[in-house]
Amino acid sequence: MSSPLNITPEGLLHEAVVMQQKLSAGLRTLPEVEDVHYGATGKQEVWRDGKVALYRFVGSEPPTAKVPILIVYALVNRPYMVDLQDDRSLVRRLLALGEDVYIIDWGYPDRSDRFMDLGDYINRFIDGAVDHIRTKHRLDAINVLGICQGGAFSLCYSALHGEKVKNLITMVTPVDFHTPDNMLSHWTRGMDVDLFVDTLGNVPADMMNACYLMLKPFRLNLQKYLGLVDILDDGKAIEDFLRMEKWIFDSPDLAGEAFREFIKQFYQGNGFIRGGIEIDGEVVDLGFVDMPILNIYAEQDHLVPPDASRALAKLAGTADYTELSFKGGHIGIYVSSRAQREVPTAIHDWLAKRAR
Amino acid sequence: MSSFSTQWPSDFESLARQYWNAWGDNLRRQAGVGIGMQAAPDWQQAVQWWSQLMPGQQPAVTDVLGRFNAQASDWYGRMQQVAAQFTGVQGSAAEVGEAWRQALGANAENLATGLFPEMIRVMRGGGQHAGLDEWITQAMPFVESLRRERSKWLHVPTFGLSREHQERWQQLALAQDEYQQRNDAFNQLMAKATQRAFELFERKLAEHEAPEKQITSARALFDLWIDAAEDAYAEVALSAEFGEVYGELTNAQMKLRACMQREVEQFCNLLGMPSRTEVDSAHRKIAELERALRKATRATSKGTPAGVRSQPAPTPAASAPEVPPITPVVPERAAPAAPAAVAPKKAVARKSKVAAKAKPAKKAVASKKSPVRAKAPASRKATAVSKPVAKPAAVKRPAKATLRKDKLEAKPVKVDATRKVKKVSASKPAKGKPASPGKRKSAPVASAPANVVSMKDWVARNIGGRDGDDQQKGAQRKSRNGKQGTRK
Repeated sequence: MSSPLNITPEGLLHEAVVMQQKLSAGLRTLPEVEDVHYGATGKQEVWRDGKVALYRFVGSEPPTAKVPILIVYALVNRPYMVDLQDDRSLVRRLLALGEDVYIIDWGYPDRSDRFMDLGDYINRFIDGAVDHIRTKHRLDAINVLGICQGGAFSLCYSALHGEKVKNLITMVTPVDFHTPDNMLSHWTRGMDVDLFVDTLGNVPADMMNACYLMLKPFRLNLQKYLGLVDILDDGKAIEDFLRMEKWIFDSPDLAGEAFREFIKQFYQGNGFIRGGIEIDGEVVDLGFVDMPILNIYAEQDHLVPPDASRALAKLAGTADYTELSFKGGHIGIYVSSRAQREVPTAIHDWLAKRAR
Repeated sequence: MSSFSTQWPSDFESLARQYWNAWGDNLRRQAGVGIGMQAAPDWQQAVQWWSQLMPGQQPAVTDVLGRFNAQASDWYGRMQQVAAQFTGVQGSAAEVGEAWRQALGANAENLATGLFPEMIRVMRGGGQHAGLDEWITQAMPFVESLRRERSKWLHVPTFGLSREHQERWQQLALAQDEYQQRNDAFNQLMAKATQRAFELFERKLAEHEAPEKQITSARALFDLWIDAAEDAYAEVALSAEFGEVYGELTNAQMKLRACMQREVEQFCNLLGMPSRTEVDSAHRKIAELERALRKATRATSKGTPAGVRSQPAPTPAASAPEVPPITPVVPERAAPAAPAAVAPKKAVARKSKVAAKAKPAKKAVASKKSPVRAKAPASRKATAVSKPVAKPAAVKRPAKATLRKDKLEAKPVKVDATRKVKKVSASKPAKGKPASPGKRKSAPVASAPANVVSMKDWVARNIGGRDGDDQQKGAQRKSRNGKQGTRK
């Protein structure tokens, strides 16, 4: 009879010894870990509306691109993922390529922001930031890079204010929220969102984080932390791990009304596909998104499955539509070394061809 | 065994050395007769020693180690035990699977309360949301006191001066009952996932029975279990049943929470303390006032780009390094085309584009969508007909062709399955959008007063202000979706 296991006593002992060495090394490296900092690139606050701030990144050289890029991130995490550390920074690479990069920081909503809705985020904050950049650079339209939920916001914004968007880049952006493999969307179908928001007010960040962990509970709660032992002898690797941990759990609460509208219109209603998205009473139709679009999706994305992103191809009203697939996951598309090599260059090259 | 640095704490070093040496000796003795390890090393104990010897460190480190100790460490320790049992022993996939089941203490009776539910409970162990379970547990004596005669009183109409309170307490007790039922249903589903995980684990083990595929380490065995558990969980989590049960559990939780919050509010009222309802009410009024104020301010502001939303740049954020202010080098732009001349074309362009979209080829696509979407093109087309439009298009974007010097050649989109951007649409990028009048009365940056052709035009655009913009936008909304949009 054959066995699936061929574990020898010597092999098991060796494995245990290696692990013991790692633990011992951890006694040395872990106390030396300093407070984890994030952000590799300097930035200046150039505009603010309440808790929402617009930052302009400062590269080592002045930008050469004529049209700046505004990065619009999701509400559910902090935007410094795009500039996490020196060797994991989409922003840094874009600056090195000559791009001029801005980012909206949504801040940390509190109870007083409970009644902010999608109209506030899209027509007030994004539009305010865009207008500021347009004024500053004396441009009619700028480039917008929307990431994840920020990509959905960017699509809405482009549909409503298309004349202000020169080129649109969407990264890991859900468009079709009802693909069969979309676990998050599947879980929201039975939710009474009104009861949910009326009870909670703002949606707590911890609740959202617990929900994300439940998408892959074993990998994200067990296997990941066992992997920590493997790097206990590498101080830099530990810091990188801790920096990612900080980003994962440093999440803002979600403004209640915005959450209500987003779940109802997007997750439950699948509004981009079926219609029914209204922002400040105005219907959003992706047919009005007629500027050039670069749609980047991740092939192993469990949060935004590829088909959820690729649905944009049939809905956008542009003749200049390009898709780019990335071999990685939802987070890897920002932080993996492959991403550092491929994504900023692809964005820059695509924009360069549409610079005029 | 490698040598240890003398800078490491000698306590752990000496303890670990004794520990691993003893285990190694035991293994070597056992290896001679091919008997699996009965007494595997206590991994948990080793980690415990290690944690106790760890000097103080940053909170982030403590946090991560806490998660490691709470979950990963325990599960891996058990897997090590299983692996040790089969050193030098030819165990079948079923035997290994059974050993793992025993190690987890999983049997038919406790599947609903072990493993998955326990893991999820521990996973939710921190934070506001996870505190809900503990909060409910703490509130349970109070709730229980209301349930003592529940079968008799929970559905009885309430009377008298305290009827409102009685009704509220009834709702609370019923909500707690419902939450318990939904939680039990969820745990049953997790028990199914657990059972399925063991089945998949055995199946995956069987795939490794070929000599070149055998598993040679405890870590690899653990990773295989993770694969099996995730696959089993995904099967259940994507099922219709899970969607229903999870939704019901969430709703029941919120209902119970709402009932508890009402009790807290009652208590706060008794003590004269402000309640959540009052604060929310105030915040709602503030939010509505802010919106009305912004709207009014936009309507009255003149010539300020972006109205009140433009603010002078504050001092740089503290976290940013000191850098000299950046002066963007922006070449002088050529005077744009007259906005008055451009705007109608652009509006027409959009409608013409929409008209082009409403052609049969596009309609075939639209017909797959909901009737709501199918309506819109028809209404847009109907509206477009009433305005002068560009020549009906044989190409997709006739109006844009009239605006741009370069013709757009729409080509089919090729999906790039490789890393590189293989095929960029052959359409040449536009030379630049014409100056847009913008939707707001604040003048576009590039336009100059000299381009305003009449006082009437200027007044309509600037003094009519936000109201004028709202009317224009309202007209646009009407033309886009065939019905008047409503603003909040």
